[in-house]
Amino acid sequence: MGATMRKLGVLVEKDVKDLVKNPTMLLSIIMPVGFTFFYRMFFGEDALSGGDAEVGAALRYVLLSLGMGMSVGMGASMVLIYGIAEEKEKHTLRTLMLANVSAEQIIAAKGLVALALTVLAELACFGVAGAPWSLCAPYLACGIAAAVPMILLSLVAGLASRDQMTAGLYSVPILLLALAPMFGYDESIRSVVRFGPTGGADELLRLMLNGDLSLASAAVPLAVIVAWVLVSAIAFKLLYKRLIRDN
Amino acid sequence: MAEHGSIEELVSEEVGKGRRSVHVECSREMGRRALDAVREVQGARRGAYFLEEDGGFDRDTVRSYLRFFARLAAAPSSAVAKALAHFGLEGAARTMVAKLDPEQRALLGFARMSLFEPEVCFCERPLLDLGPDARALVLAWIGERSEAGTLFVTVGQPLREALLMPGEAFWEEEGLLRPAVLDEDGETAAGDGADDLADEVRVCKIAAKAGEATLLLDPREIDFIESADRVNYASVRGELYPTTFTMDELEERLVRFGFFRCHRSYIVNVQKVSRVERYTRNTFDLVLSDASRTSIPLSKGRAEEMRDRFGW
Repeated sequence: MGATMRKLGVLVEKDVKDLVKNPTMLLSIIMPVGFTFFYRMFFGEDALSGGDAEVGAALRYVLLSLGMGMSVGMGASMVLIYGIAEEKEKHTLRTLMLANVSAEQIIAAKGLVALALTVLAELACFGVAGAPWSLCAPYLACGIAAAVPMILLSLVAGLASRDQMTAGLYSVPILLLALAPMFGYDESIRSVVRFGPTGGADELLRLMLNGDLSLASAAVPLAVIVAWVLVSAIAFKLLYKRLIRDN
Repeated sequence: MAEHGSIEELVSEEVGKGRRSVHVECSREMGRRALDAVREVQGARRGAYFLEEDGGFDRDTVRSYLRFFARLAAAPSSAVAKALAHFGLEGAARTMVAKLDPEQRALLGFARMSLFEPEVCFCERPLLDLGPDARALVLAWIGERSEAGTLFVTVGQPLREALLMPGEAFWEEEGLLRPAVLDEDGETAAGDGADDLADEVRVCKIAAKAGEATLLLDPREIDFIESADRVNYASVRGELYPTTFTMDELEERLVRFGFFRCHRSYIVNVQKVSRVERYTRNTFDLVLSDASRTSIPLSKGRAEEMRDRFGW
């Protein structure tokens, strides 16, 4: 157990250092924050905190939903898929697996770093959006709920990528899934995207900002979140052993 | 030494049962099967693996790369400095891995493996990218580890490289793995009459094929003779030319020109030998003064004879 935790710690530290040294990956945290800031400026302070509270709440939801979707899409998905694909392309994943490190330790380290990066990006987006800090903890909880299934799906996509070229291909549907709630401002589209992997968390966020959150209204989004966590966990469990064996 | 029906059988019999290191001249596909076989038999033993394509993390420096693996291996903090020194990488410690040349990358791979103090070690074409100095460093490490009990499995080509390592060499023929050394005591090298012929003027040329043409090679141009896959080749300035003579015939013809049968599969032009290296008690090689400073195996049974004859 001690050796396992030691190796996990070393791997996490390595992945964090690698992320800091990689400007492309750093963009994944800058882009969501930058877009949230841009939209805040675009909406203007008057619209966000001015007279009409309903409009203000709706715009605040747009800002926070955008921040969450992009943080999950860029932080949890892109970083993981491209990161794993790069390691496969340069055979460093295989080197690690032949260095008495288990595949589970490598995957766990990558997943934890991606989750931490996503939460960091969401926190920065929340700060930039200018929402009341009392909403920060529930917002991050929604963000984590959205990130977990996306991280599991991204791990599968990353392991399935032969190289960074194929990672580019596989990351598109994953990114679209993560960003789907952003396109749900229309009621008919929302009725579909709310059932996506990040849809449940986004719906909870919307209910919370509109003041409509109750046990009854949260039941469906929570069920969607649980269902996606289960589906992605099962997909990951079924596929990862076969994919990791290819190394 | 018996032949083996498959690489899996060879690895299982020799390494799985802890008998000896094996070095196999084989195709890449068989090499990869050997990798899987080694992983299979490694069990609870500490393992280390060197593969031809190993790159390393591009954004690391040599030192940070080794520190990372030292921490994974729970090696003492001094291990990194020791590995850097042993493999001549001290000067490149701050160099990014992405900027290393192939030889330095290979040395980095061996330095990484050394941190694990492996009990079982697999190497794919270990000497491929190495120049003479780097080759000596790697062979010295392999020698040290072998004496400490590490079992090595190396795969690749040519057979000459397999014969340089401590342990037993095998070569692949029609799916079978045949031992490369059948008799160490072997035939006594010819040449006892060399002095009698010293004053006799005789023309000697070694016929060898080059495409459709037949070359008549001057013995003084030949660096060494190599026997591989049942064909005997004369090496001249880095090119191998097949000859129709047997090794015994070649030895008989060449001995008076200063050639020596240093191994069952090798006859070396002693004039071209610049150095004799010893990595373990029983592992020698001869480094030639040709352009690529080729290493030729010197079998332990013939080392004594060579020492007597040439007084080293």
